[in-house]
Formats: sequence, C-alpha cells, structure tokens
Amino acid sequence: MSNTGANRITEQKVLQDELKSIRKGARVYKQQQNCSIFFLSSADREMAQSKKTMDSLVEEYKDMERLSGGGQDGGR
Amino acid sequence: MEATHLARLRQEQDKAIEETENKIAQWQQYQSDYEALHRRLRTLPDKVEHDVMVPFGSLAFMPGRLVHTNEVMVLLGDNWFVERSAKQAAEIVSRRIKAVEESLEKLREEKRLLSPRQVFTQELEDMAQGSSDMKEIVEKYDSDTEKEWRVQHKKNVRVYREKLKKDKSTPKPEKKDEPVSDEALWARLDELEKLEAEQHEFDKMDDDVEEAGVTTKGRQPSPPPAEQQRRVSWADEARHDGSDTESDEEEEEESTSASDYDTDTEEEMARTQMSRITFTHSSPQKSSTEGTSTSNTEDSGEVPQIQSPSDIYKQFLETPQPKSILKKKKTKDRTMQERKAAELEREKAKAKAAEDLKNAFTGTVVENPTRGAGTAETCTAPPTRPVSKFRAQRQQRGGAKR
Repeated sequence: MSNTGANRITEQKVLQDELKSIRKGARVYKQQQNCSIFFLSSADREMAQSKKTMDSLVEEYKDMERLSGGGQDGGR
Repeated sequence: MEATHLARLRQEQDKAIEETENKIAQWQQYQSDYEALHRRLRTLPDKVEHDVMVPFGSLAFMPGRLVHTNEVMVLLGDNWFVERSAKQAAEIVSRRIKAVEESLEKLREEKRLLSPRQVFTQELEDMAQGSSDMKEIVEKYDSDTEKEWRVQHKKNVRVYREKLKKDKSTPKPEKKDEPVSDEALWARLDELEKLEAEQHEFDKMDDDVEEAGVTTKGRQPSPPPAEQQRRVSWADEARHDGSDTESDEEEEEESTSASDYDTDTEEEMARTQMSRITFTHSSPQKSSTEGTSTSNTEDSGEVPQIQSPSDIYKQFLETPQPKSILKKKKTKDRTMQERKAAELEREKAKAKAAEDLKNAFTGTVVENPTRGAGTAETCTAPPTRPVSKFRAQRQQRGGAKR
C-alpha cells in the first residue's frame, strides 16, 4: 500500500517544509486531482490546507493505532 | 478435513477479501476525485479568468489562462458530451458522488459477509489440529458397503411386511377375554339396530300424523311394537329368508314375525353377510303393486315402458301436433269445421291428460277428499275458449246462410 496513513502524514510534512522554504514572491500551483492542469494558488493558502489535512490524518492514524493496540492488549 | 483442503479454502477466502478491498480502494479514489472536482466547479465561476499552468505534452507546462469559466463540457458516457454551466456540472457531479457512495456501501457489505468465513475456516483448522474444544464427527463413507447395506435393508423390509400380512390374515387365537368382547360387540349391534328401528318409527309416525291432520309437537321415543319388529336386512339375507328380493327402498324392511329377531340366526346372518353389501332394484311395476291400495290404479291393463324422463311425457302427456304458422286459404265453412275439430281434439287431449296425470305417480297418494274432488271436477271440465265478437258474428252469418 503506497498511501498508508504514515506515508500520507510524511507527505504532508514534506509539503509544509517545502512551502516554508520557497522564496517570497514564488507562485504556487495546485494540481487538480486526477488531471494534468494546475491552478494558481498561494503558499499561505496551501500551507493552511496542508495543516488541515495533516490534522485529520493524524487523528485517523491515532484511531487506527488505538483499535489495533486495544486488540493486542485484549489478546494478552 | 485435511489440512491441505483447509489451506486451499483459506487461500481462496483471502483472495476474495483482497479483491473486495481493492475495489473499495478504487471507489474511494473515485469519490475523492469527484469531491475535488465539485469543490473546483463551485469556485470556478467566482473569477472571469483563472491563471493556470497548461500541460504541454506529458512533461512540459506553459502558463496560461482559463477563460469562459462558466462553460463546462460534461462527458455523459459513450463519447456523448453536453455543455453545462458550472453550477449544473456541480449538480451532475454530486449525483455521481451519490452513486459512488452506494457502490462503496455494497462493497463494504460484501467484505462484512466474507470475513466470518475466515473465522470459520480458522475454527476448522483448530479442530483438525485438536487445539479447540469442539470435535469433528467423521462418518466414513464407502460406496460398496453402502450398497450392501441397502440390499440388506430391502430384504429386511420385505420380511417385515410379509410378517405383518401373515399376522393380519391368520386368525387370532381365542383367549379367555374373547367371548366378553364378542358379546359386547353384539350388544352394541343390537343397540344400533334398535336405534335405527326407532328412527324409522318416528318417520312413519310423522307421515301418519300428516294424514290425520294432527301435528305433533314433540317426539318421544317409543319402543317398537312386538308384532312389527324391524331389523336391518340386506338383499342376500332377504333371499335366504325367502322374502321379496327386489326392493327399491333402502335397506330396512318390515319383518312380521318375532322369530326373525332371534339373536342366533341374526348373528349367523350378520357374520356371513357383514363383509358384502349388495343392492337390487325392483321394477316400477312391482313397487307400485307393493304399495297401499289408496294409490290410483285405473290403468291396470296398460304397463308404460318408461326408460327415461322423456318417456314419461310421451306416455302421460299426449300433446296435440303444433299448429302451422303458415296462413291457410280458408273458407268460412272450412274454418268452422276446422275450429270444431280442433276444439274437439283439444277437449279429448285434455281429458286424456287429466286421466293420465292421475296414473303418472305410482306411489300412494293421499289427498284431502274435498280438495281432491274439486280438482277432479276441474280436470274433467275442459275450459271453453273465449270467442271474439266478430268471429261469433261470422259464425252466425255462416250458419244463417246455410
């Protein structure tokens, strides 16, 4: 599985780092999902979006960990 | 079950679950794509132009602008496109998202159904290894032994049925209890016969009461007189007794002597005749002669041969020939003569019909004397046909001219 929970979180982290490191006037384009076209956006907007996505992914990952960890504890 | 079989089963189940999960992932991707498109379509009409990076082949891009932001070409399928506004396209997308969610739900349900099979297979594996509390009951099957058993079983069944038949056919040995049960049986038979006789008496009493014109309010069972003792008798039994064999009534007939009611002879008769019942029917002639004298027997000489209901009409109701509907060339004399002849014929026919009607019924007829006399009178006097005024005048003229 290429898009596991941990991988997606890592992707978002990398994205945030890249957005922080670009120069001030640089244009940021966002790819339309499942398309080859890129729409013009801004670094701040994308950073906010990325953080939101990160939070949801982390929550999902924690829930999965809790379920899998609870099962293992019950087995013990 | 063998371990290899279980392993194979487990493999197939895992494969099925994996396929389902792949399908779920695919449909989830479709769902997220549609949702992203829906977001984009909602924001597209906000600006007249959008700055974009236009793909230039598969590896290069060119900066460009997206104009006509409210004109969207939507693919409907099979290379059919439709031009819609951004809002309309968004609505189409939301309907597709709904369809995708339904498919996803079905796939999740499928996965839910497949998962318990893995658990069951795991239990079977544990049973085979002996690590679980449940034990598998194994019944070995061999086709040869099964055939042998089936053949033996058929023989056993045949023997058992023959034995049953023998037991039924062979009379039971007399036991000490035998006479008691027989007596009880005969006593019961006697009771039933008495009940039947009483019922017959009641029926006859009702008929008698109707004759006398008295109505009985309540019926009370009365024992049959000693002289007229009744019993159930069959046709064969009647032959043995030497009485009249033919009777078209039901099984009961009167026995005049008390000796016929002797229990011993009755027992013998019953024993010999109980198994078979035959009925014979007497001819109408004999039954009419056996009846009471009050029946009308004026036509003693003639014996009507009645085989069917139509014969009754032919014998007893001789209707005149039907009149022709064609107009005849009549002279006055002829009409007078014809009319007289027709009237005479009619009178004769009616008189004969009245007489025959009295003989049509062969049973006993008991009528109210006053009423009967009245009807006889009316039957004998044929009704005169009313003649019209004009006809009467013509008749007079015709008579006068002569």
